[in-house]
Amino acid sequence: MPSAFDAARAITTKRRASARLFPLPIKHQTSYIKHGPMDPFSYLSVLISIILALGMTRVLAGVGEMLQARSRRRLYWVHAVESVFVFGSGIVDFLSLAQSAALDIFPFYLCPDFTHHLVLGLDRSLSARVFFG
Amino acid sequence: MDEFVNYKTHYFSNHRAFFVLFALYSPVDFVDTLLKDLPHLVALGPLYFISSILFFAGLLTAAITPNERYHRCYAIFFLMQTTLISFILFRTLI
Repeated sequence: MPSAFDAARAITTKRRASARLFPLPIKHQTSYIKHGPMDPFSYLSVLISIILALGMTRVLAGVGEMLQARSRRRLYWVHAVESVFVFGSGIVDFLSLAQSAALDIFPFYLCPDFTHHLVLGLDRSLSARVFFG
Repeated sequence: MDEFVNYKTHYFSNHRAFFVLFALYSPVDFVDTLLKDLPHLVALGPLYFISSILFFAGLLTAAITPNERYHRCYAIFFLMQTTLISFILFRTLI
């Protein structure tokens, strides 16, 4: 008889190969992570998040450099404000991922929301790179 | 890291490439929305068109002009705009 946890993950006793190889008596639920199926857009949005994070990392590294080597840096407030803006745009793009209608067509190049966010994410990342050189 | 960097010189030597890349956001967004469907584009309403045009025009001007006063004003405007949009987007998530 499969446990409630296995039932939630659609794992039957018959399917669980590890249970047959290592028959450990696990009597209670070991994880509270819900193992629901991920929709294609949510899955692909991880890639967009990585690209956005690359741009945001460059901005943070640039700010770090600014502070670390401040004796050899002449700051310009417009540049500092714009770097906050570039970082903020990354956050806006990340938040807007949740706004998508997510048309779930799996070949990702046919998923308009994915290409849309990917192209715009690349643009953001690239401009962050140009901003700090 | 050891070399001396003047961020003002750096900013004005790179502003063209940076703002052109940033300005690309609006036309790419527009074409992509158009590819989805024409009714989808129309459904976004006049606010989408107005904000896209303003965003594009502002960024393109920033790319073209080396005027320091313009860049000062636009930096503040940009920051306010981004903060506002972040809050609007964040409110819709809660």
